[in-house]
Amino acid sequence: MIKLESAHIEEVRGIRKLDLDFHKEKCAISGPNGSGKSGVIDAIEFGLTGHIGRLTGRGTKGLSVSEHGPHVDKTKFPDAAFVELKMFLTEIGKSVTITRKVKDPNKPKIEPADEDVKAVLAEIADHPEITLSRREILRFILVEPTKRSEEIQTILKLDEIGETRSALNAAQNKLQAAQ
Amino acid sequence: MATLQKIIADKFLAKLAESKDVDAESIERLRSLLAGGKKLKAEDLVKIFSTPAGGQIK
Repeated sequence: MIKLESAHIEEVRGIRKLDLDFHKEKCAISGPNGSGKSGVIDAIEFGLTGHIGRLTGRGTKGLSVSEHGPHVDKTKFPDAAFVELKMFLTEIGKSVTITRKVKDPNKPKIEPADEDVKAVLAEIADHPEITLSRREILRFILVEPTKRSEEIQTILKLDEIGETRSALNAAQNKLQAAQ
Repeated sequence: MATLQKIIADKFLAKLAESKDVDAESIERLRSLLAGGKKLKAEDLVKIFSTPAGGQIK
């Protein structure tokens, strides 16, 4: 488990510059529409994984972290967009700082760069299902029952498995038709 | 560390290996295809699972 201590967000999504202290506690973010609540979630997800779930999946064709991750005023300067997260990794009992730039999402700066720290962070980065957006929850509630399993796959970021299953079904049909 | 998708794919391949209907070579080809990261096409799967020319239908 990870416990966030603080976040420093610069030029990511709708956020110009923001410092947040979480004190390793559970927290809720509230504010009026358009104030940047989702931007904070996006930035934390980006800091942890290098991805922004809201920019992937159904209905997001043409969106990318490199183009749509930075603030609109900084799209030509992705170097300026970055997230620095300070967190406590309970599994190994260490405090860690990870800094990730939109320009180089797969090469975060990790301090301390110990092997056990890198292993825990790699596991987190491999699990994009850690964040669940309001949009995903609403879609799951509103979807017709026959498509609920597809929505669960989307929520768990298992779209690729769904595509693989469809391809296997299509191949099975083709092979049966050929017999 | 494995992603959820990889865990599911590995279990699927292991289950397939237990089946006597699919040969080891086909499973390995499927494993490589899944690991390739490209979008899977039905045609590629048909190539793997179709009986080779002159082969016997089991």
